[in-house]
Amino acid sequence: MRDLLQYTACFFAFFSAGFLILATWTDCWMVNADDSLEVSTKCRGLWWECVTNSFDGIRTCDDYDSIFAEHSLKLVATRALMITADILAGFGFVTLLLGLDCVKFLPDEPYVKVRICVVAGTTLLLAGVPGIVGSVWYAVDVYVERSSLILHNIFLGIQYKFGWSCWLAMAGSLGCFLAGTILTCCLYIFKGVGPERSYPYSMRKAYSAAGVSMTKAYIAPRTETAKMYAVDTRV
Amino acid sequence: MANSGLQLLGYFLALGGWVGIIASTALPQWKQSSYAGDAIITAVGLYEGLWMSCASQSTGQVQCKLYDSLLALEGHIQSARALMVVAVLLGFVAMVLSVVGMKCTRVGDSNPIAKGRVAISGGVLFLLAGLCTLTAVSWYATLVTQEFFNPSTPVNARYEFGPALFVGWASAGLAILGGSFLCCTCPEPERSNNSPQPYRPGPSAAAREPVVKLSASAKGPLGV
Repeated sequence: MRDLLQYTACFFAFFSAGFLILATWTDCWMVNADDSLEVSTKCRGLWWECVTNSFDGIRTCDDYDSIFAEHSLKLVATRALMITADILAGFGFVTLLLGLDCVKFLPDEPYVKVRICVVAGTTLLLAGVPGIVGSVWYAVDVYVERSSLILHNIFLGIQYKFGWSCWLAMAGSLGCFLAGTILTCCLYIFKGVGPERSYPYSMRKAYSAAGVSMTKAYIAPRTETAKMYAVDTRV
Repeated sequence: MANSGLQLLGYFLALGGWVGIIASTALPQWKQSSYAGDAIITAVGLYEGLWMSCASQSTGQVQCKLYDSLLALEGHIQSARALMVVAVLLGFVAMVLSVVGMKCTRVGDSNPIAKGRVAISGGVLFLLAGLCTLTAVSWYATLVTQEFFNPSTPVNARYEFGPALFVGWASAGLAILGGSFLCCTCPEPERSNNSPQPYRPGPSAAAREPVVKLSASAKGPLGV
């Protein structure tokens, strides 16, 4: 059960980190919502803006002006928040890989591994926060802009709605939240269940170390017991 | 037997190579217009890739267009596409296989020989992916070179190597290097037969006696 939860969390962490990174570097954060004649599709992203002509398929992209030019607050804030979310999610995923039970990293210390999992879960939860804040902020801003234009009955020719990158970012942040919740809450619950719950920590650790050395004695020839015998024979 | 550090190193090299293969497949800059000669008009730079051709204006705008017809494409572009896509797929399978086969994971620990074989097959697939990429990129580069030195090509319409070609070469090298590291971890059959047996003091103590007897009996005639 615990393995299954870990694999689920790993799956979600991988895909949500991928979604967040993909959303940051793609260009369809808002697309035009023209109800009249559709000659072209406009996509505006965080870094550049592309117009695809729907007749001949030519796609023209233009970078935004330099970083010191005037940008709207939502653009700069979303950029910063998304990059933070990318870094945190990637870091959480790598940490989670080290903490998985099926990876032989620190095999003798299961409690350290559980702690690594909890740290990875916390990092993923932390990564979800800027991701969801950034994408929802952008979406709300786009929505407010559009509805204020409609309210005042202004028709500028172009109105924007959310594009798929925005949805991708929201999905990625929700996946981060899910993976983080699984890792921090559920694993914590499952760690406590078992016969060794009532033992004090030091005893539990000694017991688990003995168990590990017992299981290793069956597999590998060079174990603690073998070394002990070797020492005995030498003496 | 090679240690798991070498395996990990090979895996990460090959993983980097795989990411590079994907990047060079997607990049539109397989060849770019050359400014060699006395070309003066440099307001537009032209790029061509496997999927689209682009024109970069001096004002900073980039216009791209996907190739229209699949069947009207030139043969070398189609084969380069096929080779690159095959390389990406092979790299994906190799990535999954070598995670299962590497010593640092606990999957299939009870059968180390089969685990080693899985790791080696992952390495071989990485090697194949690297070779596919190398073929595609070098073939394309050869054609670009031939076209460049063809005297009938007008000077202003010459193309030279784009960044995607170099990315492709580098990632093919990484994938081949990583794949061969993974292949190096071949388990030796005699040693792996001995290793699963646990340490048993009893039989070895019993086995020591005949040896002693034999040596004594062998010593006798020699000594006399």
